[in-house]
Amino acid sequence: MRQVIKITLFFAAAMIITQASMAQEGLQLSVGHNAATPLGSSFRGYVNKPSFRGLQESMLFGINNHLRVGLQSSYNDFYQKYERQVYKSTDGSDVSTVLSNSLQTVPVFAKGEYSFFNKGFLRPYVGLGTGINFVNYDQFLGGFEYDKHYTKAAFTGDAGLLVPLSRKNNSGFRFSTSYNLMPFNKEGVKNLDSWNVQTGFTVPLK
Amino acid sequence: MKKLKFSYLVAAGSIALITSSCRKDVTQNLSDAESRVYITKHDSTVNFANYQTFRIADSVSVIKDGQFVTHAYNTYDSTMIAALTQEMIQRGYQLQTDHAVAPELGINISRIITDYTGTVSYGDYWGGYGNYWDPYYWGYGGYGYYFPYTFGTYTFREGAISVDILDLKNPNTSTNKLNTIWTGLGRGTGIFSISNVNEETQALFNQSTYIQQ
Repeated sequence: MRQVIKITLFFAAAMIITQASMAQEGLQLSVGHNAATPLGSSFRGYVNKPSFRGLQESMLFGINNHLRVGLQSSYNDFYQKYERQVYKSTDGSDVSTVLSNSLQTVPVFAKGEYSFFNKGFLRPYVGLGTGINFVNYDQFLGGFEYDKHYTKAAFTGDAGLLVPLSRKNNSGFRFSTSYNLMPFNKEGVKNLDSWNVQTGFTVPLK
Repeated sequence: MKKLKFSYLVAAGSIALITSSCRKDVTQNLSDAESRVYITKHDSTVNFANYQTFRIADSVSVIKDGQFVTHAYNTYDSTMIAALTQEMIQRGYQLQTDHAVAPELGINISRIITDYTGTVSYGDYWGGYGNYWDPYYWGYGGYGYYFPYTFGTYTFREGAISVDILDLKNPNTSTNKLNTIWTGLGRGTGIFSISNVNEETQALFNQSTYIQQ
């Protein structure tokens, strides 16, 4: 959560700076809700419920009418509680517990987007990104927490649609879907890949 | 100016999104019963059917922050001793009431209270706890306790009830140790509540089906 706040503050500061100077052109800020579904048997063995506690932010600079590059980050909280069972611990003990799995991912990507149209009411685009993924792994045996933090690589590919407020306006609503490839092999969980759906808005900052 | 105001709207929306996407509070989503954890471990080389009689210590050791405080016998302690006695009898063991005769199994109970949060190996605080119960109580003056296994590392925040079954039939005369052949530990909210005693003993014994005469 602290990482999310830091990233948000970074975007907010960047927005204020660009608003104040009006020197840079082509910057656009996007903010939206991010819902994620865990993929892969290992990740789904840990948590198989989709995460609706998530957000995505990006700040991209328009190089030309079609291509934008910049930074994108997202946050998702995966959580699942399992009814009481007896587990065989690695040390040979038997543990009767309600198990709660909680995992937060904060990937930060260097990202490029290609927009097929720069005018009109529907502006589809596709994007690719690569970056790092901050992972908070939490497992609760009853009320007792086991907590670990990891930093791993992350990759994303997305496709979306910008629906501007008007034909001449670059502000608007943004709908997209993405696949996040997140290599991970810790705590018995392999890869944190997810399929995501975003709903948000975009505002140009120039 | 208009664009600037819209940007502020975006910033406000961001804050709203962060608020709505906060992490689920796991412990808030657990009932008291769900917060409790029961851990048992035993000496896998021991056949529990080879023992016939048992006795439970007549009071409970209270250990606070790793330090022995006292031997106690309050309502919870007496209820726990009674529940464990009943459980052992149901498993086919005979309660040795004659103090002149040594039982084959001895059972020690401890209440462990910790006021701090941290990652602590169980071995750290109860590897030595056996010393709080003088083996003289079991007729083995000068002996110590031996734990043939260690526990993993967990974070804990509150009280725990610990039950040890000792092998009094086969004392290790070369090392002067009484072997602990089974350990049960219950931890979590309400662990010292009298109303939870039956749940605690049943949870510990239900996952220890090998304790059977």
